[in-house]
Parts: sequence; C-alpha cells; structure tokens
Amino acid sequence: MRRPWKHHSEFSELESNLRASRPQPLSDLVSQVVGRVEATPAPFRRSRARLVLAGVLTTGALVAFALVGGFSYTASAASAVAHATGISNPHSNKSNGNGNGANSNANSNANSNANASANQYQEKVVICHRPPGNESNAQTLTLSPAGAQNHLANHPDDTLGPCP
Amino acid sequence: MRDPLADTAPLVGRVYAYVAYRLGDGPDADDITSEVFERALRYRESYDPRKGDPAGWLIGIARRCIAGAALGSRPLDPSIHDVREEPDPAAPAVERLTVRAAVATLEERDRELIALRYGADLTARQIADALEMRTNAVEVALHRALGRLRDLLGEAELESPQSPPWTRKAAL
Repeated sequence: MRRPWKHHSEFSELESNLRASRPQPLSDLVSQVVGRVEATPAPFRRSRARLVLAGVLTTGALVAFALVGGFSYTASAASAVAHATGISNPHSNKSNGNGNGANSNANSNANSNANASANQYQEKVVICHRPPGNESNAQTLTLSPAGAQNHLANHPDDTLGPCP
Repeated sequence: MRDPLADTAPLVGRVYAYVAYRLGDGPDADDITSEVFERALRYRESYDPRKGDPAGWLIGIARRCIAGAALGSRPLDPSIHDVREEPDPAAPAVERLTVRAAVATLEERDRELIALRYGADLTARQIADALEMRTNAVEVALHRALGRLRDLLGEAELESPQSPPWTRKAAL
C-alpha cells in the first residue's frame, strides 16, 4: 500500500526551504533570555540517587540493629537501670524485711544483665553453681544450654537461675 | 534530574522560530518568546524528562502563551514577515520572505503543523504528543499542509515571473 506521506521526496525542496526560511531571533533577544536564565540559579533538586542511598543506609542500619538485638538489649539495659535505681519497684528493698535488700538488688542486677545477654543471643542459660564440698561459695554462671545441662547433671547442688 | 534550561541559546532559536511561524516576525514573537522562558524559569522544577525533551516542553508552554494571548487564531498579515537576519547568506532574502508569507496565509491548523515541524524542529511523534494526535495522523496532516503550501507558492509564482525554484513543480 502506498503511503504518500511517508515519501516526502516530492516536498524535500520545499522542506529544505522551510528550514532555511526559519525565522531567527534577534541576537539581543537571545542574549537577554540567556542572561535571564543564567542569572537565575537552578533550584536544588532532590536527586533520586540521594534518596535511594538514604533509603539503603537507613534499611542497613535497621537490619544491623535488629541482628544484634539492639532493641531487646536496650530494653533490658533500661530495665536494669530502673531496678538499680529503684524506679520501677521502689518497695523491692522491703521484700526481705531482714536487711538483705541490697543483696537482693545485686542479684536482681545480675539477673537483669543475664537476661539482657540471653535476650541478645538467645543461647545462654543462667545457673547457680555450688562447688561440691564448698557449697557456700555459690557462683552465678551464664552458660550455653549444653554447658548448663552438664552442670546440672553432674552437680546435684546446682540450680537453674542466679544464686540467691 | 536534568535542567531543561541547561543549554538555552539553541532553545531560544527553536521557540522563536515556532512562535514567529505562528504569529510572524516582530515584537509579538519577541514578547511571547520572552514570556515562554519566564514561565519556564518559574516552573523549571516541574519539568519531567520522561515526558519529553526540553524543546517539546518549551513548545508546550509557547502554545499556551499564544493561546492565552489569543494571538494564534487571528489572521496573519503576510507582509509582517520581514527578514531581520541573514542566517544563510546563500539563500536570497526574497525567497525566505515568500515562503514565510505563504505560511502566513495557511489556515491556522496547517500553520501550527508547519511551525511545529519546521520552526520548532519537532519530530512527528513529538508533534503527535503535543497535539494529542496519532503519529500517523500527524504525518498525513503535514503532507497535506505541505501540498497546500506548495499550491500557494505555485500561485505566487504565476503572479510573479521570478519564482523560487521549489514552486516549479506546482507551476508545471
């Protein structure tokens, strides 16, 4: 099928003359417009690359924070501070009623720290180890589950949880 | 994001050529061209390169400026197409004057197409985008506009014995 508008050869000379006859602006107008444009600085543009970079960095930071248990650690640390300062439970010292409140606080701190570690790594168990023959020298230990199980199996006096 | 006014000088030429083909050379074309770039500066940030190149964007502004000034639909006086510069010394001024005068006598729609294609130097596809037409329809319309322009130039040749060479075919 013949499409005459696709064959501009019959108008090629006319087209050339239309282009050659194209009206030209006065040089004054060109310099005036160019000067006006150059005098107006291009506005700051939010580069898409910058936005993408910011998004990637933010995501990376959040992922890294989540991987190291940042949120639970922060919560546990805040809880430990609250316990130590008596903010969360101001009556805890009175619970013993026999002057052992300070000792109880220390154990609570140890427990809080153990919890923070446990929360962060999810693989630790806190036990109270009482060496055979020297039960009075109890020690709070934070062990792997296998280590804790081994202790509990071989030392009948060891108990789960921190020492009192 | 790309600055649409990074290379202004050639754009001024294309916008002016489009406006002058529509309105004729002179103060009106100067004013509209200046207005186009004022608006372009104002709306610089709204330019989206995905929608077309800076020339197409500026021509869109120019079309709105002309429409806003209600200048585009008025009949043109062919005599206002004076030759103010000599961009191509090889082409005689009288020939350019004849072509521009013939364009000025075309109907508004044909003049618009000629101005977009040969003034602003837009492609058929860009013209189709600007006029919300199909590219094929633009090519057909341009072909017909050129035919009518050639006829006009042929008539001019019959009236004047020293006719430009591109009208020879129509005169035969």
